[in-house]
Amino acid sequence: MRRFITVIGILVILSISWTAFVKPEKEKENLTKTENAVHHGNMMHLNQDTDTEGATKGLRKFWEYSGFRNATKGHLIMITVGLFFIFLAIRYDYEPLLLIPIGTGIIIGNIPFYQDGDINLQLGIYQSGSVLNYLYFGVLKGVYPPLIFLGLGAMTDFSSLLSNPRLMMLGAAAQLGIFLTFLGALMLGFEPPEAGAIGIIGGADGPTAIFLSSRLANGVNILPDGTAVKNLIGPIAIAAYSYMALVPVIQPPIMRLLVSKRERRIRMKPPRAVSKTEKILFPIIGLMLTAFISPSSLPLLGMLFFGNILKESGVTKRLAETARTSMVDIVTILLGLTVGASTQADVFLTPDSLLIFLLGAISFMIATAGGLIFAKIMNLFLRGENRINPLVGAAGVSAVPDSARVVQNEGLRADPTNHLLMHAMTPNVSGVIGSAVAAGILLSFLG
Amino acid sequence: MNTILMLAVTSAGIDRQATIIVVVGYLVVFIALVALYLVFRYVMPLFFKIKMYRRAAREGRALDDSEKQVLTGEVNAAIATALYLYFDEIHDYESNVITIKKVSKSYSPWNSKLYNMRNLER
Repeated sequence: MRRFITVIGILVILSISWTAFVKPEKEKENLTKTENAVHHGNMMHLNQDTDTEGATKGLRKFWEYSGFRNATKGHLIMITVGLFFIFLAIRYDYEPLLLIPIGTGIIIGNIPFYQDGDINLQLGIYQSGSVLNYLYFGVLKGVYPPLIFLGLGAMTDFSSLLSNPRLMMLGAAAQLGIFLTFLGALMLGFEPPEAGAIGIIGGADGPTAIFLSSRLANGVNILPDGTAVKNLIGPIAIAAYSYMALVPVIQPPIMRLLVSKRERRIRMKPPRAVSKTEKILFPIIGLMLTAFISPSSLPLLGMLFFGNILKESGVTKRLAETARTSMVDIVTILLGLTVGASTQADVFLTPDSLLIFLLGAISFMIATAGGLIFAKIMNLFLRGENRINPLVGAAGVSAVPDSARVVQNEGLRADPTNHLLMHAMTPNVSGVIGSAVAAGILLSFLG
Repeated sequence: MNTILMLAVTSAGIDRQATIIVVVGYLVVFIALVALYLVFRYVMPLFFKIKMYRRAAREGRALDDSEKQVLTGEVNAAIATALYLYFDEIHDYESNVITIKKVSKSYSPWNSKLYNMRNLER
């Protein structure tokens, strides 16, 4: 059985690679030759049974519509990327809840099918009327990200933030990545709305990145010069989620570079107990303050704080439970799958995508460095047990809870008895608020 | 810091509007989180203090420092662990079944060896 599967597998791989590397012109030439031969044959055998001719035509049409006939190098590259994402999720446990749907989505979105001008088979994500196109509506119109934020709010315990609000500033400092990447994107020739959407990758927040790119770089908006902005939702979302999954790889070297061994061993004051009233008041006050300062971030922050009110009020347990489990799971599935499927080779494999990936990596590094350096600056003004372990600054990159986990691991590496997780959660969740505010500001300036 | 950023950006040839977006944007993010910090660092404790004084006044007694609840993280963790262990030991219902569950093997004549053998005529 195994040998049979191996042989079939090799045959499939060979046929795929054959179709990928045969030049279209040559194929067309062959096809014309075949057509001529068939035509010639038809002329020669006019008296032959017409059923045989019909069957040949049918088979040829079937072949033309099959994925093997329409596969290109781009499709194969993207399918490999999808498989790599699935491999990363299963083998290394890198954000499996995101990478499995996205990886599968990439494969689904890159299954080759017949595409010719006006013909709409209603299959692809960009073909109106297809099921995937309907699901993609939630990404295009920015419906899914606020729903994810609702679930996030219903999951998040802000008590660590309330017990040491000073650390909130680190969440703001780490947003440096967003704004410097915005400048970087402008320098590389992107239009301001596109640069804004690319910059938000530095916020390390997938839903926020999708929300902003669906508003600024959606391929629909018209620029002052009359041209349409590029559709960068796919590359931005993939870059944001890829780097979020790679936080355990990206952050530690920067942390070791910028924080000395002595600083890494700093012990912080244990967090105080937080009363229930404070926990209830936080989402209400937080919502009003942040929304009044930056109303454009209302869809994200409104839902985040609404989810948290559901959790902390204590009287809507059923709603909070649904928001943080079933609902967020459903939206994650839809979001991951459609974002993955939106990376259709012809839209995704462009030089712009490469630049976006490059800028994304740089923005994550800048954001991490921003948080670490700001923590060190804060330490200049703090004494005794109030001092901050600078490692905590890296958690300002709002990849919840991965960057906090990385801080905990790095802290334990320096001192096996020094647990920083609870402290790191403060900049981590305030980073979520900070990146949503930043998205709101970029939207109000560039939208 | 913002002045340095402004200079660096201007020298890099980025237009004025982009510079304004960066500076204002970064400042607003800071303002939003600093405002939250100030509220929860200074306004909330004040609010709770006033509440405590008013309650003490209503009950006609002076506010005692011992009323302030000082619970460190360690104490909280100890209480939480104790509660968890206590509730974990409580059983609302015991099945009272002490026998080992019978494990029945699924049997069907179709997987019987006997039926796989050829009944050769003798």
